[in-house]
Amino acid sequence: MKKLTSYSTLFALLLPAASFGAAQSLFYRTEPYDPVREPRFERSWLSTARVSVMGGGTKKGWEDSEAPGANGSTLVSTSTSANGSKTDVLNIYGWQNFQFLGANIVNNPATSIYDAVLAQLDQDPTNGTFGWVQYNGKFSYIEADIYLAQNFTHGFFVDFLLPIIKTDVKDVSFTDQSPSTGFPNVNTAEWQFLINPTNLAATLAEYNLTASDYSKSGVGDIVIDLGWTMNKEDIADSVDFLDVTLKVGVNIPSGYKQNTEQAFSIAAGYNKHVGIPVIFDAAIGFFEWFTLGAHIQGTFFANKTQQTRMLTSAAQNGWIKLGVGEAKQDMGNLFEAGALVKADHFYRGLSLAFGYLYARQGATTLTPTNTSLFPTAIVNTDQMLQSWHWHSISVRAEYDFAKEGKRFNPHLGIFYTQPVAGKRVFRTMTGGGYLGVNVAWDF
Amino acid sequence: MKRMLRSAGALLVCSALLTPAAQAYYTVTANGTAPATYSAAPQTAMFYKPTGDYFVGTALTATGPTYTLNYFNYRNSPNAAPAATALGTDASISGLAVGKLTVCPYSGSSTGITTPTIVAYITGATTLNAVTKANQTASVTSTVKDAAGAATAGVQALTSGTLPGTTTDAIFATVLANAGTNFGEANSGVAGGLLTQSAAGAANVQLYNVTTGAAAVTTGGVALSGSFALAASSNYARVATATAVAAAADAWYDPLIGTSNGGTLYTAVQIATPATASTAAFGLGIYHVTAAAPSFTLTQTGIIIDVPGATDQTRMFLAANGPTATARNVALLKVRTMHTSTGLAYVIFNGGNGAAAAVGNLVYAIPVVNGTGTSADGLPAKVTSFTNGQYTVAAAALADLYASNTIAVQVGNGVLPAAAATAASDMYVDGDTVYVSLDVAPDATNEPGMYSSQAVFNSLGQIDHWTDWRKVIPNDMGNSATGSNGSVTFGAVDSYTGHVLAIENTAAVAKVTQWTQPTGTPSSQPLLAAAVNSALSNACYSVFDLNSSTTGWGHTVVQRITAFGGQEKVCFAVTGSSSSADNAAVIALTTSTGIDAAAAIDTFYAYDNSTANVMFVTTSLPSGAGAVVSLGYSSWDADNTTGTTATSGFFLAGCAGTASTAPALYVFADPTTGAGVNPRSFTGLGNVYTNYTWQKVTNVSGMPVKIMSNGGGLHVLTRTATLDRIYSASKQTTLSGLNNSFIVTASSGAVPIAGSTASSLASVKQIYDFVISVSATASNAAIAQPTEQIMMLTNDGIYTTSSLLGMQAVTSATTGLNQLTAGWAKIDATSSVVTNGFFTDYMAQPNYNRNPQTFWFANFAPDAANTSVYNRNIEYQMSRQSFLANNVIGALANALTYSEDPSNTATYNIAQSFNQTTAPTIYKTFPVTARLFYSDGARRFFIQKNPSDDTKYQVLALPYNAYDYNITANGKSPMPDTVVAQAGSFYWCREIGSTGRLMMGTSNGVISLQ
Repeated sequence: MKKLTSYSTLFALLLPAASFGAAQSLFYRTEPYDPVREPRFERSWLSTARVSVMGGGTKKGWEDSEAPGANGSTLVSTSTSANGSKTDVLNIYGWQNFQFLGANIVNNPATSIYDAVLAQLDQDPTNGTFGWVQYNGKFSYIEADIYLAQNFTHGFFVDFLLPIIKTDVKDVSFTDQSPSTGFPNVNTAEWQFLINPTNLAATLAEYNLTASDYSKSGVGDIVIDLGWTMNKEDIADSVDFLDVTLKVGVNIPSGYKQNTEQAFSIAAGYNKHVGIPVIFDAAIGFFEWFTLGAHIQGTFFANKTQQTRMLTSAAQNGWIKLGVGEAKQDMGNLFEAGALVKADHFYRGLSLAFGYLYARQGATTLTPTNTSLFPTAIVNTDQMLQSWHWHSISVRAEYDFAKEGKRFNPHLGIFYTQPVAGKRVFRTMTGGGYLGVNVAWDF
Repeated sequence: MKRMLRSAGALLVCSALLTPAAQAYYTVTANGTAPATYSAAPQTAMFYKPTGDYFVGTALTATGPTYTLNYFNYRNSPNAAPAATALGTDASISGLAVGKLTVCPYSGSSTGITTPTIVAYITGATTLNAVTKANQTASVTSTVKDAAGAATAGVQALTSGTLPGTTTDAIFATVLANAGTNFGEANSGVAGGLLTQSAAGAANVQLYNVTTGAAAVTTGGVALSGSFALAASSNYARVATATAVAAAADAWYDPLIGTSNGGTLYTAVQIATPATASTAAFGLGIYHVTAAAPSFTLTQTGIIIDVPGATDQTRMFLAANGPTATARNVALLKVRTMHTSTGLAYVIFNGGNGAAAAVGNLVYAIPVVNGTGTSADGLPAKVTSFTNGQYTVAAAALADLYASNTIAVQVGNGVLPAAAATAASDMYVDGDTVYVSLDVAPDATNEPGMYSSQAVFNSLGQIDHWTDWRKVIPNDMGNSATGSNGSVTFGAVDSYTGHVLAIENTAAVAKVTQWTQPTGTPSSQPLLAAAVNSALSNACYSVFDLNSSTTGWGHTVVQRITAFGGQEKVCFAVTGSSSSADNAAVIALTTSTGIDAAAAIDTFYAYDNSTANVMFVTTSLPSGAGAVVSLGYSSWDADNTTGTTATSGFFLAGCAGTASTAPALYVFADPTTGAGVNPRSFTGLGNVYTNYTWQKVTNVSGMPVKIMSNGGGLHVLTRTATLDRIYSASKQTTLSGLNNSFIVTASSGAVPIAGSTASSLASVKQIYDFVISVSATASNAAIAQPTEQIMMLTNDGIYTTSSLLGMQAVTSATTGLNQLTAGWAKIDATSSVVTNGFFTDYMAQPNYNRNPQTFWFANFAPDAANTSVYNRNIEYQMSRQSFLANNVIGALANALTYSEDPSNTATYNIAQSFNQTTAPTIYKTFPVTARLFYSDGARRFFIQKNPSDDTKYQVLALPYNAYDYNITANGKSPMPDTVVAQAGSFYWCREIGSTGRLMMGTSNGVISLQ
């Protein structure tokens, strides 16, 4: 942030960079426009309003290097790589085992040929990669965020984020990984029956599940923070300022949840979990134009008991699970850390920023209500419940139309961000822009 | 086919250089010098099912004298050679020859079944000695006396048991008369007494007067007054006193036959009628037991029959004179009882009508009355008196009994592989199976070892016939470690573990089978599995064993051949031999002058082909054929009974294909002439396969998952994602003829006549398995009968054909056999929920390629806690009506016609209702699903999901009668044997040839119980 002046009109020049700060890190996309949150300007009664629009998509993601199939036909990998390996977007949890899709969950085989086939496959001997499939498809999303912030006195402020999101998974397909040699193999009758697209759809339908293209739009998780910010100037000759902001808030589970009847449904936010974000942002300015920023955040989620898809066998894996039941979800906490370099108002109102952000969500633990059907130990082997992380970079250009002495100071920007490495996350490339206004009230 | 790999041995040698020697049986250690277990010959032995202890009595010994009475146990310490524990520390036993013993559960405490009383008889003594495992201080009886109150000249047999409904443990002894020589002489008889234990676990045995039940007089216990020999006043024979001819007198007490009569005691004796017209004598003594304080009394009983008008030599356990005044013998040498899985009681005996030297190789089974609550219980039944699942009336005329040539009574479907003079040295009955030990030197007519035969049932649950004798243990488990003498004196099968325990007295050795995956140069029979694993790279998906019941092959060919299927390869191995006679059991390779002595030695079977005899060949299928998932042999024999018209047989392989090559059926045939492997001209592996190749049968589509022929039609089940079919072919002599002969006789979803229900399979979406349920007769395997029928397992239940033509009658798809004329109908279509559900995709049957009628399958069951989830199994046994009356050609049983709904089945919940005694409630459903099922009639192997890993399987061994084995709760551990536990997948389980080995194809390769 540029050096703070004592004139109310001057700070308006600085506002855009100080007004972001509530976007969520999710496995399917990085924080789209604010890779590092910057401290908010300590100006009493400052108001901010902004609308952002963004979108992106990908066919790729990163899977755990130990995920089934990550090492080809060697189903079990000994790799201990911190980051995963790049794969198809719907394969971020590794290959899915359809041989044991019905293990410990199949309905009466006497009443349905589809259940009969599931039961047959469950009884077949294993043979390397027999019964494994790799899913692929395309993921895209568009999002519009409404952001409001209001300062009070003594550095206190509140902010509010309302995301409106549409997620879209399409072109869903899979490739059979079954071997040609040995037995059972790619030609095994019950296997060929199951992977026939019509039969597979009918089989999944027996369990109220669809594994095909799916899109959903709606409100995301609303975030409300209470913050306190402090700006210090002229700390040293070459240091223009040092700003610090602390925030604590609540992630309101207003976003649409995962649809348990759609295998590739993606929740808009944190799947109906209340979260408590605790945020620390700092920025230090040099030479009147250069800013370094840092951001650390932890979001702590409350338990939530709800219906969810769960494994019924440790042999199962992936998005498609026939078992659905109630479970207490102890969602893994979210941790973020990042840094920013920024050329701040280096030409008139134009700023350029380059940021890096690391986000990691810990493993989620399920405690099923019916543990005989859903043994806790087995349920929690699900790759989908394991931790995810990404490393992302972003660039942003913004222009501040603030004029000295103006109360209303509009700004706009464009940005691009994408993850560069990760595990169990989408490699979604996001672009977008925003338009906002800062209002410096003089009460 | 790729060219044949005749030199498979070369490959095997290479691998063998890096591997240790073959693993084999465990040798029990005791007081003998290795490899002998004992320093003196075992003379008696009894396996105690509840604990797995094998109690042994040996001859007197100065070395380790306490071991003359001992026991060993494999069950409690698997994966290690058992060590015997001495029980003969008491001076009354130590160092003395233990000639007889019996083991009786102690009924005085809730845990008494695991602390039995062991009663031993010292050879030459006149007392009995009782000990327990916990307390070896012997309780010694007073003098055992004969029927006249004098000291017996010797105890001939001991048997014991708890009187039904009481806590009275009784012991019975057949005793010679004072100074007597033959059992049956005046004053010989049956003595008895009671067994108790002190609170400290000390045994006590007390003799009583079993005539009055009174306590022993001061001179000791008094044996039963009166000889069992048939007196003129007896109701059990017409006239005269029979003549005792031998000292031996076996005995067997069964408390569960005739419970209202205190159980039934059977004795087996050797006896002769007097040379008097119209006389008869029984070799089977039958006694009822009546509680009479303070002990019990014995009452001899029997059946009342008329003497035939003519000499009758056809009833197994009696001798009778017609008008001719000629002495006739009946010799019963061993006696046991069987409670079948279908709930019926049978007496099993070795011997029969004739002198002992003439009937030693015969074993019979006769049904007895049981459950009526009358004095008829325990008596030989009138075979037509079958009501509500039991025989209810005792035989009253000769015609009421089975004739000795009835296949229902011929255990082993014929004589043992031994000379008539060779009697069983031991006979052990478990479940539906009879195990017989033969202790005799091998020669031109004797092949010693241990053999089993399994009962096959009809739709009423009656024994319909028996499987052929099959070898249970390898030769090297007997007298000779090289397999040159497979003599076994005593043998038992522990169905709890699945292991076989064998004792041989000359070498004084006790051995226990071991599951092993042998490695090394396969230069002998114990390394057969090593040869297969090396040739097939540890991936054997299928097996086909041409045992002696294989029609055609069994009729003419000496060598037993086993085929093993792997990835685009099929191995053939010589796995034994057979006599040339139909239905005869497996014996050593024969030459024109008799048995080839070398064939009895393990090294004769050099699977590295290092000898002049080619014992192992590996053939290759065309590239892309894929894994061989099914194997079969057409089993076709000559077109007439004399075999003058040769007919080719065909080996067939069903292959899974690859991504680029469709699954297909292949036939091993001459590429030029299309000829197959003719059993009439087969002389060995060395000169048949040199130019043969595996060739595709183009008219058969889909993946062939099952190939079956019993000598009639050749039937192949193929499966695809959308269509499952059974193809049938008739006897052909060339590949082209075979290819053209195949027609579809069952097609999922097919309706032969639009709008009609005739033979409709409209409700069948998938066909999982099939069996030939009626085929050529067991008594004449040479000619296929026009009566062959098929049962198949589908998603819609079990269907059977009802073809008037017979399923072997393939002539034309349009004018001959087809799906319509097959007459498919669902079994119990309306009345039984059992067969209306989905079944697991296997259907097992006895390892027997002729006329089977008993099958096993499983049905899915709901999880007890989550009733919408079906991850459990209920196992079923089904026995269907054979249709053929006593397997007589063209004679339909019970006025049946093939056109009727073949609902005549006896279907049992294999765990809940398979009861020899009290129906166990455990294992009503199994905790997990079972992939495969194997049974030899006693042992049951459930190859089931590993509850802790859905991707792996394990083997649960369960006996037929959990009660007998004191299995009182669910949760029995799976087989702990190392190589079994290490395997994740199991493809098959099968007895192999006459090797005496049971093998399993696993994900780690072939493993062998040997």
